[in-house]
Amino acid sequence: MYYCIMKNELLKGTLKTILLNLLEKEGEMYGYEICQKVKDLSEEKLLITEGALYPTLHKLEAEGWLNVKKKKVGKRTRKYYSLSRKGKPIAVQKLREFQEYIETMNLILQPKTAKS
Amino acid sequence: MNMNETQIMFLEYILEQKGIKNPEIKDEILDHLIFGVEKRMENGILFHDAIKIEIDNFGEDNFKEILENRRMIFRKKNKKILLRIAATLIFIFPILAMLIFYGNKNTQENNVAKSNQKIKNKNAVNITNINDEYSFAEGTWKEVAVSLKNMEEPPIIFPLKGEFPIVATFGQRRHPVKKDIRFHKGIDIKAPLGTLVVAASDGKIKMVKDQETGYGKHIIIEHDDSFTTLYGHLSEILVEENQEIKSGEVIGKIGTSGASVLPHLHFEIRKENVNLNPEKYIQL
Repeated sequence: MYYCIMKNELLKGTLKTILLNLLEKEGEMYGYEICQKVKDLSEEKLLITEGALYPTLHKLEAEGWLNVKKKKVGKRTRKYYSLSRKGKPIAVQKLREFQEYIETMNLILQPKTAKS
Repeated sequence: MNMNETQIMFLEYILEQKGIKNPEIKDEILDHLIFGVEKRMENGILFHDAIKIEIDNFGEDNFKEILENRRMIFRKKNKKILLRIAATLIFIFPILAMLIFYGNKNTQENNVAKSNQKIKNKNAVNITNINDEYSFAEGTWKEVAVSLKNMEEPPIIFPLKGEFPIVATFGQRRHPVKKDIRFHKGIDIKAPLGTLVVAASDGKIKMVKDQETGYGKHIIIEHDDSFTTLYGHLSEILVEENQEIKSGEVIGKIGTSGASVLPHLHFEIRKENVNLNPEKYIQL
């Protein structure tokens, strides 16, 4: 049984980057779908509470980086998110920033020995 | 395994209890939770247990965060909207001002035109009203005047028995005795000495006086509270004070008493102590 639990502040900070990149790759997604995808991609190692996605999604939406579409599915209303024109370069930029961050962290945490 | 309507309503109710009332947010979370609950129910977990697990998984803190977030976004949006409105206003203010200015000018011009039209209309209305009043007046005022005359001014008849010429009219003239310009307060009717003088209208003898100067022997008849007639320069007075008199009854005889050089009748009509032109009142 998988529990999407996230208490890690560091992880929470990177959630924006994760969501933007996921949407860049997948196109249009709804909340539950995103949650499942994160779970699958992280091989169930990334523990975030399911609900934690939504405040971040709403923030991204408010920034104007996401487009929102509502679809009626039976009696349920499903909210689909996708990158907006404004959000696309942001997604690329955020990914690059994060990669640079990881590289920097690698430099600090795993310094190359004089030998190599 | 699909949740039935009652179960969805129950889940909705739980969300509302947690403060998720905004329909947009509620729909989204509901959709998410239904996925999870239905999946668990497929795995043989009872509805109530499934709900409990899914809500726990969603995270109590996240409900609060979503709501707070929403409020913040809303505030930001409002701020943005306000700023945008302000910016727009600043940008379009000159245009608006110009529009308003010219608009006003136009409306002022229009107003002027309108008021002109109004005045024209008013005039037209007034004219028609006047015309109406005129047509009304011409008929009515005559009647009113006649009735008023009949009521307020007793019918005045010629104050002598027989026909005699008026030798001096009402108004300014040279005084025959004193030889200066004076206002003649009545008319002079030339008649032979002893010609009978009659009351010009019904009334009461107000005054009978015999004096050397001025009117000489003269009579004043009161026809009502404000209307009197005077008969001057008589040779004989045939009535007494307070005597009731009828129109045409003899009251005296022509003479030349007082400031007079020839036998004649000086006849006055007074209304509220203002002398009127007897010629205008004598009904022939």
